[in-house]
Amino acid sequence: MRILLPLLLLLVLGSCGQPSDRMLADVEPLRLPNGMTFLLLQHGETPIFSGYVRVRVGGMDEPSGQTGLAHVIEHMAFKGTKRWGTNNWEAEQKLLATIEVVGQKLAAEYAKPAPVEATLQQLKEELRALYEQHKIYLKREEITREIQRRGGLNFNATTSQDLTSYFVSLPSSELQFWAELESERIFQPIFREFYLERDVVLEERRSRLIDNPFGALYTELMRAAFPNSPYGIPTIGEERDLLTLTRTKAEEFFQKHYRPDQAVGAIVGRFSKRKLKKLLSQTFGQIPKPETAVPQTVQQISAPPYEREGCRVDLVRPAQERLMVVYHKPALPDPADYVFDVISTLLTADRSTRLYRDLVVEKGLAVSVDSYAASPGSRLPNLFMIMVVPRPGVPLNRLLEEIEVHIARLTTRLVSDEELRNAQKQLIDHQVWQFEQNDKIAAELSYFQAIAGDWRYIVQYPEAIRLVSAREIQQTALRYLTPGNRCLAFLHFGAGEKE
Amino acid sequence: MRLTVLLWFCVLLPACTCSDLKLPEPDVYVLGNGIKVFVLEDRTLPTFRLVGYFPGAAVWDESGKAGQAWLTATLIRTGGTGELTPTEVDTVLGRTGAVIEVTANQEEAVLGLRCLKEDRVEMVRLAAAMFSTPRFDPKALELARRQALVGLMTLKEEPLQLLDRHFPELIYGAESAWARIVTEASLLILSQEDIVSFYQHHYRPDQMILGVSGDFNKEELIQELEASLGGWTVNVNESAELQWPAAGEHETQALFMPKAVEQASIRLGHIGITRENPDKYAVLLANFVLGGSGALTSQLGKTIRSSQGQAYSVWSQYGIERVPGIFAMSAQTEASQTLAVIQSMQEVLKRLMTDGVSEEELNEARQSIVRALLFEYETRYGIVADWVKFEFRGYPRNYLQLFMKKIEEVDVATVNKVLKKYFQPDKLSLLVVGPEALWQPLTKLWPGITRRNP
Repeated sequence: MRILLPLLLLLVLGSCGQPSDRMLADVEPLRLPNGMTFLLLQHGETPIFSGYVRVRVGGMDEPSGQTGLAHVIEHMAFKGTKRWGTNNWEAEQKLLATIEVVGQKLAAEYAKPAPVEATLQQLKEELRALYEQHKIYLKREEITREIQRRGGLNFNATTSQDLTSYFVSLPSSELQFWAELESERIFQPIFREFYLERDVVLEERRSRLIDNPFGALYTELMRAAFPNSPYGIPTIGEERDLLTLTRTKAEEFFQKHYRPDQAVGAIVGRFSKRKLKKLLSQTFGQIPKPETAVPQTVQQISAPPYEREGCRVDLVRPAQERLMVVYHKPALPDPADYVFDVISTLLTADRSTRLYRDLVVEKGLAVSVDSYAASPGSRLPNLFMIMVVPRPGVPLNRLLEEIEVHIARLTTRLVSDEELRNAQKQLIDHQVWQFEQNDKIAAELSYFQAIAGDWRYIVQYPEAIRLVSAREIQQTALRYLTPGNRCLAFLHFGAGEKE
Repeated sequence: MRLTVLLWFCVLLPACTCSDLKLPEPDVYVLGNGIKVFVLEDRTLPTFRLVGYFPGAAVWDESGKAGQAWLTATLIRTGGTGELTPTEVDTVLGRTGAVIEVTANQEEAVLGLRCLKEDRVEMVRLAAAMFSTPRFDPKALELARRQALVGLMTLKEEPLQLLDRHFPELIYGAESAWARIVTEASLLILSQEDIVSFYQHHYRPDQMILGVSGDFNKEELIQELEASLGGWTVNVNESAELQWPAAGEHETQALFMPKAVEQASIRLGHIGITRENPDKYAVLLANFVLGGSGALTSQLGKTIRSSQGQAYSVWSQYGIERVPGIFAMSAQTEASQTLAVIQSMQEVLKRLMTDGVSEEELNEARQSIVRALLFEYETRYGIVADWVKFEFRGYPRNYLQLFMKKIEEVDVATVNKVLKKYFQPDKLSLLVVGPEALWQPLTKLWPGITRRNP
């Protein structure tokens, strides 16, 4: 467990810190009585700000048979609330109740082992007709238009295995509007056009996981690598689960997980701190404090390394060949997590690093090689991933052999002082580029607060990296970079069938 | 700080025009060899950023040698210098964590450099060496060629990229310098001589414009730049004035590119206007209302996305370039909806031209565009980078404020006038990337459509 050095001490030590230290010293955390945490940082000369809200709920939290919920809920936040997106909430509410009755029947039919096609068609037709009626109550895209009108940029949201995140940048004059809107639409959305949006998600799924060869490969690899973890199921959900989804189920999930004590906000830019704090208290602060404990969604997952030889996926597509090699690793704040950051940097950070230099520049066997220290998320045990694109004509197995040689080297030879220092410096200095612009700063601060429970993870990160020794790298490699702890994915060129 | 007060003043009073903004102004220097430099100090972080525009761009590729500009730019970065082999260059960069990138776009080539402040002197010297004494190492050339060939294959996996790649040739004609596409054939032809020749013709200090921002003292920095980049000289007999190739214009045509996907990607459009056209502000606003504001709030978005199962992604862009750009409406849709969407897009355009925009729509469009431009000033580097771009394009230095003012001045009558003048629903070319099953129906909808594999 890394020592969490006090910020002041780090500043006193001066050169032991990182380039963004001075800026980080100005971050002001604010915890509302209902448990929601905000991180505030005044930054820049322009009267603009970026606002991030992250909720600690993602694909991994979904119950079995209801995958895809978190992502659909994220879409719902753009449909509006009782105030936004409707011209008559009372009337609309009645119609939504009728729609839900039909929606549930449709879901029930899909859930049957042998759904009757005629019944499905009839129910879909009923639903379509009801949504036609529903149109008159809609103020379509009212929120998006309003954001745009006020000069908003990058108004969007994402759902991952770990988190659901909402963000936008606006002129500072719109801070009040932002706080009122976001607190309302994120924590009190109305799930309107639910079944229509569900269909849009099915299309999105088709395009990303099925049509896209790399998306298909990645999905199958996760499935094979994580037989016992929710990380094995794509965040966008399984087709069957999406078809049997109901608004009622979604609302239950929402009530359970969208709690202020599971949410983090970050506001970076120019604003009056005094006014902002008051505003936050009046808006987000009004969300009721939860009375139950934070839900436990995932049963204990055994810690890696594992002994499962032969984990492998082969896909054939008329597309560029690729090889992915993944190893199971623990999540932060396990010391191994930091070590893998260093290993990733040593192998693929730039053209001078081991794998890139050897496979791409010197031997010309590959055209690119990358590594990622934590896929597909960071709340649960995850994966260290190496991805290679071969030079045409070079067999994927050849590349696998070359990678294995490099892996073996990590276990048999200590990294030199110089190479280690370079990698550490790279990792530490690299962070400065996340602190140039408001949106990136807000993203970074809120991410670590939500994932690690403390944004100061960023502050103590350099020291943790500096403490990684050559011996520790070797031990970590011996422990985790083993065939039993590994999974492989091959994308072969050919005229393949799509699932 | 005066600057901040004025900016606050602007955005707190909605009625105030943002074009009254006063911004930090970069200092301007010209190095001995003609390189123009815009400089803005910034002590926020201990970093340094440099951007440079120069005409080593794709539009200057020789006929049959598409990719020449790109390959030259790549080798400037990866091919080594007089003193250092490619591997040595990579090692130096790896040690400092600095990033140097050289990219050839269609109209300009761009040098980008970022590093920590303590590495600035060494990195600028390295960039200077890349430009003044490039090695163009043959092994690096082969690696770059390989990477480009693979990149081509990956590009073809993405239908949207196929639209971008092939639509210009429908509008300008395949021989146009503005429609050239890099192919396997053209990549395989390119030789070291081609790279050297391109470099000698198009890499000149007197045509380069730099912007720098970061934690430095500007007088010291200029001395450093003079000592390093200022040392790059070339002997040229040709004038520094650029002779831009004409774009040309092809009569309307339609093309289908089959791809085994379940969704179709559609582009419908015609030739646009140039940057010199004074109607361009009104045209931009018209396009914003039509489909430039984003899939969900524009006319195209509202109409076409509104029904279930139709396009979930639809937008328009109006190209305003040095030569006439390209106006295009694009959509991605479930394949069975393709014909319906093509027809809908045309209907939406015609309807907008007939009905015109409303006062409310125009207000919203103006406001959205002007207010979002505030973000161009977010960082000092952003300001300096804009100045470099404007200088290269021949715009005045206060173009951002000028642009805002011009947008604010456009009225409904003008927008409705340009809608009729610069949008031609009867002169649209069409490109569709989608499954084979679309071919027959498309030949009926659009007689004369041809086909070609991606």
